[in-house]
Amino acid sequence: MDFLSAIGIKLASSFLGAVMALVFQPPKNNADFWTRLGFSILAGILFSDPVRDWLKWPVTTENNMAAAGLTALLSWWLMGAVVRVVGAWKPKE
Amino acid sequence: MSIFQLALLGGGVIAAFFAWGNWRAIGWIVALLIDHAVSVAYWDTGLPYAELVAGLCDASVCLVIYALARAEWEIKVLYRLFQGMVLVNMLYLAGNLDIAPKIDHVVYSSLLEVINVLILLSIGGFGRLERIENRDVVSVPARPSLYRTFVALRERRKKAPFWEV
Repeated sequence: MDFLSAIGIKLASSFLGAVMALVFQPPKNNADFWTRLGFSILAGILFSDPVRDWLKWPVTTENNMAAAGLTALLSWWLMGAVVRVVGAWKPKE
Repeated sequence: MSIFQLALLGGGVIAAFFAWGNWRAIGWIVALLIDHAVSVAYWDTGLPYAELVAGLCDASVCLVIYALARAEWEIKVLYRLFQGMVLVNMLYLAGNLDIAPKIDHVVYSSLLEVINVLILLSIGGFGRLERIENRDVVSVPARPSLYRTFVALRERRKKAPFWEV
């Protein structure tokens, strides 16, 4: 599979994974939405291969899609958690 | 059409009958039926990850409800029920991908059918209540009760979508 197709599949799967996560944890405002979406898609594209290897899935198109979607879904929640922790540790003005 | 699809269609017709005149409620019934039809159509093709497509269809309805809901019951009851269907689909998919324990197909289908019935009951019930417009606040009992809960769920939605914040 060529590089652009692989990126395209990861991008689409990451987007769908982020959409699934959005259903369970809607963002607070527009800025939160775009931050989480960007983080999820980036994480899905960059980390789907290590996640697939860690889960010991064979390298197939379906498994690449599943790994990208799963990574994006988990990243959405992770980003929300990071923002909450940073907010809690930020000094109160 | 299988017996389950006929039953869902029949249930949709009955719920629409109860909520007749309340076009928002009937719209939600149509959304459920379209969601189900698309999911079943993909399932019948035999292509892989049918549960993912079913979950995405349910998630789409969730997002439509999130965007267009006006009353609390649409967010607190209807949205949560469709969310439940997304969760069931995701858990079944996770089982098939060996990330989580496998769920039996009969259990998976049964859970979805139960949630479908709950959705139709809630749309028919709240749709009918909205239609009757029984909003005599004086007659609401002071102590907490199921009736107060129903009245509260028919109030205007409290939390706006994130793009309106």
